[in-house]
Amino acid sequence: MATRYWVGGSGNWDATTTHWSATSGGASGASVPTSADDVIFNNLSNATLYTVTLLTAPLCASVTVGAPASGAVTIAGSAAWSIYGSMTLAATNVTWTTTSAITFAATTTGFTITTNGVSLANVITFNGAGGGWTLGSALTTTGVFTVTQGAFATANFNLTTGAFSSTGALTRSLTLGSSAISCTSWSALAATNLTVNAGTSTITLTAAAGNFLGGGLTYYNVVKGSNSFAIGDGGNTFNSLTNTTVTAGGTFACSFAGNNTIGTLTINGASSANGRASIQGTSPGTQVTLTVASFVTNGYVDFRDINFQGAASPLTVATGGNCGNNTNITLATPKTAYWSLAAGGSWHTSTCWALTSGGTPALANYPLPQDMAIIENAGLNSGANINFGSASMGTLNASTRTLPMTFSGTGQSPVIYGDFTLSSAITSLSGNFTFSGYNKTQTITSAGVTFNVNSAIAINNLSTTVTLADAFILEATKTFTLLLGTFNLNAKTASMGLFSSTGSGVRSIAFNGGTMTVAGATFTASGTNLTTSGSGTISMASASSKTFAGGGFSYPTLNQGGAGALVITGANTFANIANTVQPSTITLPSSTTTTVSNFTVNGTSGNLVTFNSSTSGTQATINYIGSSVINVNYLSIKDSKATPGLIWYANTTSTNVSNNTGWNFSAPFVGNGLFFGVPF
Amino acid sequence: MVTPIIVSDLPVTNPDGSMSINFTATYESYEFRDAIVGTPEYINGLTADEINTIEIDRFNNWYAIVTAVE
Repeated sequence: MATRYWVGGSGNWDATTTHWSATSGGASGASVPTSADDVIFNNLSNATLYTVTLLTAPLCASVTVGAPASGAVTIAGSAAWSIYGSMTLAATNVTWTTTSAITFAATTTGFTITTNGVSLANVITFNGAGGGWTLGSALTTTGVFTVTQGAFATANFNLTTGAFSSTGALTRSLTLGSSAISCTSWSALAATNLTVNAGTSTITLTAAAGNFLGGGLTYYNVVKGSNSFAIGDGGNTFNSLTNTTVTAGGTFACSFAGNNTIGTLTINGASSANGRASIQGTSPGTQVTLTVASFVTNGYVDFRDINFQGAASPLTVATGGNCGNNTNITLATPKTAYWSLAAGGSWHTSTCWALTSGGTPALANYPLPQDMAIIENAGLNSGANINFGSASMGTLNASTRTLPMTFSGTGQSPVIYGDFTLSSAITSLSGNFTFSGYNKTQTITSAGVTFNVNSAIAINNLSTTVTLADAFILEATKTFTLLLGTFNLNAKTASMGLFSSTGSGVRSIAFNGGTMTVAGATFTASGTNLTTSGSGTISMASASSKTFAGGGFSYPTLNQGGAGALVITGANTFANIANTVQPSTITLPSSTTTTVSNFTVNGTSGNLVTFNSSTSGTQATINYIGSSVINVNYLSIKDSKATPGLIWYANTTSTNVSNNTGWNFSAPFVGNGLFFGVPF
Repeated sequence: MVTPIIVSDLPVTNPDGSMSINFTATYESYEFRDAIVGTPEYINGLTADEINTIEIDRFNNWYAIVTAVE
């Protein structure tokens, strides 16, 4: 182990010996520091200000940065820097512009990190088996702060970081003392071999999302100053967990992904009923248990999927909103609120709700998720607009409205817990609507109103069934997403740009004679637990190329309903594959079996339908499981294996391009009540 | 820039021979704990006003970061 002194003023910390001396202010030419060598920048490194630029992954044991004889030393550059000892920065005349990732890699204890008021912008990682580091002063970095292995202690000083992370399985500990720790987020997700000695520390989450993944460990105080937070896992214990306030109208989630135990849970909404904190689980329809000794609130809070246990249970919040699926919580009695602000405005930032038709509005009348909100002619001028914002809405009923009006919500995400009833007087409608009612049927009555280009629709509650009362239209480029629950077409037509249903949530589409018309490029289903029921049709209507990514699930009729080529992916099962447009193309996945109960794809003379495989030269299998024969015309067939044999007839009108098996390019034999031997 | 309430400890000598002045700065609900660390010559050469200025500056640098959210 040696000590290396920087000499010669400005230069690069690289593989050269130009700036290294074995003595303070001595001759250069000493060896470049290794991980065993301490490095010192001091008053003899240069007479005046100078800059050291970190290049080629510098190494050192401990580093001490002091000022030159006059002026400041600037540490610059971005090469990854590994420090195997302590780091000490002088309180004055140290300018820190380096953005290097700094790894403290010691494998023994007793090291200190003293930044002395110098703010850093570095990603900092502690990663040394058996290493131990203690703060010698407050530490501030805007970079990610990671403890991968070793023992890190704050020594009661403040720690301010970007994201804080301590994931993985290596042995490590955090000793937080009475420190105030501010970080954009905290992640100890699925952590093993992590010991947190929380002391009486306070962890404050500073990013808007407020994500906290505790790893199932015990913490002292965790604070989110305003609006949303997300406790992203379960099994944590908090002395206190606080969301201080809500700073705007609308609803802000305070979510829990698992069961947690909390001494004092403080959740406040805004200072009036229209700014609300929603205490909720993260999977709509599935409860989480919060075991709480003491609950503090100003009352402007909503609850969803919360099983409230502990000394604070049962809980009564007289002004609380009920999004459903709560246990041991008594909330406000449902009411009916009437819009009563003639000029229109925001759902939640104006005094606009009355308890009687045309009555006097008051903030206290703000409709909660268990309430009905009525929009009628009284209380709203002709042509006025109502902006949904991020409201948690119960039932919306605008059915009696006959004067023109608009609903706007571009970029905003109202969540609907009841029915959604429009009227034909609504001339424009936008918003990212999520239907998330608990254990109920939510009926959408569109009355001919289109959810416009600034809209999206999602269904997201395990126990909801969203039913169409009439035709439903979502602008042709926008997405309808089914995450959880049931979408019941109820014999109606649902038109949309794109459809998406991915993940493992239990969800279903009940066609009941209805039709889904997908006007855009994709129908996407993947994951598990998607089922369909009833007869109906999915029509891929785009005039441009489009994909039906079925994810291996079962469907009713899939219709090629537009001139654009239709590519089907997945080992899917269909009641029928059909078409209403020709010429057109239907491409099945190669080396995959597509199962059908019927196949009624037909071209016309001069307008053949191309039926092929996704890989030229490799067959796609289509397997019929009905009891009749397939008899189609005017197809151009290539790379198709039709099973079982003897029942697939493309007739002489079709073209046998190449590499087909199982197809008969002739007419089926008909006679004696048999259709090529099969009764008909 | 805000003016926190400062509680400053007497200088202590660290195991490596350096000295620290630990302090706590509070403003409303914000509490900041830090230390001024340096050689004995540096620490002993600071006047009370200089120490106070450093402590207030450090608090405000931190305060600006933790309040610049959302």
